[in-house]
Amino acid sequence: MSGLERKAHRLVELARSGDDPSAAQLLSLHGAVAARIAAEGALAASGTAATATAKVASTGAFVKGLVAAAAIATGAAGFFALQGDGQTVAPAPVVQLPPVHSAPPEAFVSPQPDSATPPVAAPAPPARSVKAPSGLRLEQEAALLAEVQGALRSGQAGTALTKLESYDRRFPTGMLRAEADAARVFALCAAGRVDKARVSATRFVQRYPSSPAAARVQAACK
Amino acid sequence: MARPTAPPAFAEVYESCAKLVWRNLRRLGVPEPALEDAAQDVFLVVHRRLPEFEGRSSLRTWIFGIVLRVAARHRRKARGLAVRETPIPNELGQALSAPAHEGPFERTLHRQATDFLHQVLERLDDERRALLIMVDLEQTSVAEAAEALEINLNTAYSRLRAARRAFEAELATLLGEGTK
Repeated sequence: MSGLERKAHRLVELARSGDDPSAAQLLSLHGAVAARIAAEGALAASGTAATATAKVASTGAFVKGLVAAAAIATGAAGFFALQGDGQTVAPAPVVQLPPVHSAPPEAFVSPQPDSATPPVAAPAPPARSVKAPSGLRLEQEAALLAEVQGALRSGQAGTALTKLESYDRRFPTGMLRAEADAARVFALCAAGRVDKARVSATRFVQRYPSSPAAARVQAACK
Repeated sequence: MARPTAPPAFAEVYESCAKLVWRNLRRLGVPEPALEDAAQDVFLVVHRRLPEFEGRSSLRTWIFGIVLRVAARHRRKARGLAVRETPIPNELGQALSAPAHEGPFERTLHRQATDFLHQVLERLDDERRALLIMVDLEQTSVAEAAEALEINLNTAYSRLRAARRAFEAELATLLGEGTK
């Protein structure tokens, strides 16, 4: 292999993960695709908003799920910003949701008693909780992470950590895995488990070196 | 439940391909501000045409074909926004010369490498760019890449070789190591 070939090879390796979308971009795309598919459906039905909704419903769980996800997206998009400076972002009032079954939240496996964090009675009510029992995985991931965010915002680090454990179990290959891993670092810091937080932060930066959140994750406990 | 021969559900396709679509539109030269629009276009086409997907090619190959066409359209629209060439940052230049050791502080380096890669790719012709992206960045098989580009396998192999040489030559130029 020539020197030049080697350089080309290294460049490709270094750049390979650099173009992945951020969670915010992914969720925004999600909502936009849903809206455009719904609009096409409405056009085909050439009807009123009401028939458009009916059409959306008939397109199946996908669009419905997407629209719900779009509602969560705004919250999730602010996720890192929120984590970074501890500033509270008001939950965005968004998209008119089509009826979403308000199923009870999935029972989280009983919280592991956590030495450093006192058990919390009730999970923080996420600002605008959208629970969809079925539908898109991304939607479910986003909903769960929105709950994590809600818990962190109201200072319930233990709840956040429990929810993150649930995330790990349910979505071992989740699309928002990086966001969950980042949230874990912030939650560990908030729970005063600084050593563990540092280990997680180091692992995060190794796994997602090009993540826009890497710097904030690294500075999390400082 | 879907019959085994039925095309996959749109939701499934979307979930498994959203990141793939996004990053490859970018590599194919769709500028950052136009990315979401372009990605939407891809999925609108996928949504419309999924019933015709017959599984003769892999899903990834089929999607790639759509990504290539949508990217070409957006590139044309965005001609004024061509990638600006900037000199290679020192840090990256060193990392390319010396064996890279992964460390926690290399985030900047990855960012720089990604931007620089775009510059190199931008200098290649469309087919070469597409081949390199598929085979070297996405690590698809040459056969899959050939299918997405609608060229035969032998042609794909020889063009891939040429594409790699061209990539190296453009890299050398940008590094100021001109091999004339």
